[in-house]
Amino acid sequence: MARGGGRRRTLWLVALGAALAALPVAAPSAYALTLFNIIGLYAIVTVGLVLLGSSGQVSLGQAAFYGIGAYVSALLAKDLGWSTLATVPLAIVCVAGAAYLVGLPTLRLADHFFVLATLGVGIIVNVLMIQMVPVTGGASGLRDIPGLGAWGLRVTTDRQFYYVVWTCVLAAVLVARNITSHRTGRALRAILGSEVGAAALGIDVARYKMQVFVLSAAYAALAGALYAHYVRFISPSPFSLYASLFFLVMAVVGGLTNIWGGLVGAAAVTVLDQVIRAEMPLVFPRVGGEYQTAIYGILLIVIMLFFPAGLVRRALDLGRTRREAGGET
Amino acid sequence: MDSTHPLEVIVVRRLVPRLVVVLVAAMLTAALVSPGTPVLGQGAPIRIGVVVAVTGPASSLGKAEKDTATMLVPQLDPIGGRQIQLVVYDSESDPTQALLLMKKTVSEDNVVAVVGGTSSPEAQAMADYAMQAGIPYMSLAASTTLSVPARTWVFQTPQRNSIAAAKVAGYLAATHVRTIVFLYRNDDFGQDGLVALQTYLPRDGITIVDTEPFEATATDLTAQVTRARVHTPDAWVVWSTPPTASTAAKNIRQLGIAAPIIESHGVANQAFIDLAGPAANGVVFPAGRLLVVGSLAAADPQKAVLQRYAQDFNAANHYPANTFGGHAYDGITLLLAAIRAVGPDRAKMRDYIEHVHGFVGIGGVFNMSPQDHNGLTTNDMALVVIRDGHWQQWK
Amino acid sequence: MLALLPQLVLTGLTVGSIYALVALGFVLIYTVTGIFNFAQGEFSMLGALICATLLATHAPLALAALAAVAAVAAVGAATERLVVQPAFGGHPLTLIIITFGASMVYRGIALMVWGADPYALPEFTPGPPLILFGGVLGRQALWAIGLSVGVVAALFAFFTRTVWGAALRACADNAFASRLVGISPRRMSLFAFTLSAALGALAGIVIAPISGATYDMGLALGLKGFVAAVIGGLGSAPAAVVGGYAVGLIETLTTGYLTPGYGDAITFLVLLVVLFLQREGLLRGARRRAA
Repeated sequence: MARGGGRRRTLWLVALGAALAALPVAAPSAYALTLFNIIGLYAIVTVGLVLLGSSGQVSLGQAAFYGIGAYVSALLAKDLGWSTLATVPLAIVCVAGAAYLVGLPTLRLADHFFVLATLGVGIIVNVLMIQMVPVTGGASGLRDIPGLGAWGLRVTTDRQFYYVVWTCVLAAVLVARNITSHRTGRALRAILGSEVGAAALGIDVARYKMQVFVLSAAYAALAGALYAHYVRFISPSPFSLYASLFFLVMAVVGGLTNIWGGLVGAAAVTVLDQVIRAEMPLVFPRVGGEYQTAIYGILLIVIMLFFPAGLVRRALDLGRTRREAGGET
Repeated sequence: MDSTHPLEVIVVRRLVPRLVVVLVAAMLTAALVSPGTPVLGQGAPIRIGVVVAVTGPASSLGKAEKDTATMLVPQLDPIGGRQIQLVVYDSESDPTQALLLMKKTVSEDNVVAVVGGTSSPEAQAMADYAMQAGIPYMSLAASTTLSVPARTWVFQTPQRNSIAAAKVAGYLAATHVRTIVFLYRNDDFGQDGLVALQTYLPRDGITIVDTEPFEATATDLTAQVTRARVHTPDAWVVWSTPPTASTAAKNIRQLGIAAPIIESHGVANQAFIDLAGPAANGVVFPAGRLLVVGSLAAADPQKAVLQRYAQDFNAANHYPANTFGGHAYDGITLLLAAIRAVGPDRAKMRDYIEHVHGFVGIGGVFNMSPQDHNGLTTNDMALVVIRDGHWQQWK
Repeated sequence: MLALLPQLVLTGLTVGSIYALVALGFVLIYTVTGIFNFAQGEFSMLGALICATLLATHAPLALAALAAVAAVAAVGAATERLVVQPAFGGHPLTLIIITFGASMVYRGIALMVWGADPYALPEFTPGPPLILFGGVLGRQALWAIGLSVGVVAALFAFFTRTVWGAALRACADNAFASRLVGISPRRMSLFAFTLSAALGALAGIVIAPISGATYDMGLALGLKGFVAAVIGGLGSAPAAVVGGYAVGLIETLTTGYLTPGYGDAITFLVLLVVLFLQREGLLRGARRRAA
């Protein structure tokens, strides 16, 4: 990697970090901060999905990992009174373990079937959340979840949470970029191009696929746990198939194999969501809301047809990978 | 798709993505600075936020709530020389969205109070924020835990689930039912109903011999009914909304079961009758008096208010009013009464509402107190029986 | 305990026949084009809602149903031409996401046009239910079962006796060779989508009198249909039907005999088990890439 390129990249990162740090000062309203916080949470999940996408897999069950992370951390903090400094990492570890177990049989499946399997896992987990009333509170959910905090310091305001979340987002992105830039990344790209080809090159396909799968689940779990301690109320409804589809839309918009794209995708779709809500009733006053569904559908189709690499520059073209096995960034 | 035509490369692969990044930035700015969608024109200083589920699973309730707001707009006379404005948002039955929109309406639109939370998860999330922000919040969900125990800033306008369950229990006792089977939708509505009935029925010596949950998307409930009928209950209680509430009734009758069917207040709409067909005949359910306004005594304190609401709603929205819209009506009119009495001050409005007595609304006659932020009793519900596709009061 | 069995079986066959119809449409598209059509369930939803709207204009049921099926078939054809064709030959994930996008578009449009309320459809032949083997079978349920069996028989005759059917089968077996003998895989793809959409619409119109028609009924139906198709092995039409009935029976039997409320979870658990047991998804015709 050229020296100049590395320095420029660092400059960009610093600039981004500064901009992010300054944002709460520029837009201090509760609404804006909450919006950014939610974008941050979604960005973490989406980057995880992108990591998975870089090995050619698509999961429609991320909401399950997101939700389990939320419930585990919430229950440990609320019922056992443990500090969130412990419950959040524990939740991540739990979900990573669950993902490992789920991954063992499912990662062997061919593409379509893997998607279907993740779909199935997502639905099963959602049903369990609703059914296991004594544990999860059932459909009415869990209230009075403690906020984030440790050693006497509590995260109580939107602004404080903002810094926590976005530090996590940057960390998540940097870790993901690190993974995809080096040997693992090359292996993943080889797998994306052709699993058989990659195996022929001596790459341990199963191991790499499992690594990214578990990592993507861990990301989702982190976001879920943070969500639980932010909104401080969770129920099964934010962790349904619709949520998984929403995450997919965000990943596709940003580019299924582009890490920074995950961030942009999460921001773009969340903001688009809010804008649609605000503006659509002015255009179609008589029609009931939720135009989002149709618009996201069109977005998915248009992007996959014309911009399969997502709307962020510098990404692999999914349509081309079959022909450029082991291609470069 | 795999063209390498130079123009296409330039336009498609470079220009568009950059355009999109610019667009995103613009949208972000727009979303942050644009105010909510006011239902009434411009320059109105006193605002009330309305965050309801116009779409999503709770939409059959939320749409009526939104349309009630629409209906009220022409009737909002200025108070103290200041216009009243209702700012309406669609939470899509999503608690995260509901919370976000509530924060938006509080911080961007500077509302003095918020009405909303169609489903219980939404209302719970909004209630927590109301407590944090110190703003009066009129919740529209029926979950008992919203007002029990009472929280300072949180009020509840629908008859809470425990009241509906108590009404059903009273009916069962009056008709000498000893055992029931409880079929319920597996979500917050159904589960809340189960908890409420489990509290009230034993007091009247009635036993729930079997409970069967089902999904909202279930197409046929014969399996659950078959499984439950071995217990030969005296009556069947179904806690859901259409279409599954109707499917349940149809399946029960189809299996030749003649025992009475009692449904929840979730079937207080025409869709239930349309979908259930002949099976709807004889079904009894608790509901706000709106449903049977025609048969109310002239001296009934609610009659005039109910009739006016039904008329105005139908005229404005071209479909019949229902009790859920009524909950929004009560929430908004309570806030308006407070503003008229003590001005647009959050703390004073809260105090006023907390001590309201004899306030005639759609859901009933409200008598609030520091311990009771719902203000309604079983007297505020009527028992309705469906005969030949029409609602009649059960005596 | 055993006394419950006849009723549960009858109900299982009823819902199973709907899943069978959806699975049929799904498998048809899959064997001919190799595409997982995640919008299959929405065809059923559109069929039911369009039929309900036409009935509101006091059209006779047969006419309304036929028109609805035709309309949805056209939607299926449009989907194929506009959305699927341009992506032909791309990464399989692209196509999966595209069909998901299509399903979201249909659901969104349905919400805007028909709203969120449920619509009622009348039974085809109203009347008292039949008593069979100690269980009760509604007349509409009989229609559902009868139609699915009838459709399979008609499809069988179609595939074995007609030129178009033979062409479809040829394409399913070997797209490359089919092209050599003059069969156009693209045209077959269009045909498969049109026919599948029609099947889906039929399923929706038949089930709606029992369960009501709502804008979001397609998702659940579609999912169960996929499960049915996968359980049946994704290989052939009869397999899809068997899968459909299997899912219907699993659903009702577990609800009836095991714990209620976990019905959906168990259905998907069966799906997962079946997926794991099939050798890495290498089924007959698994890796289609119609040119």
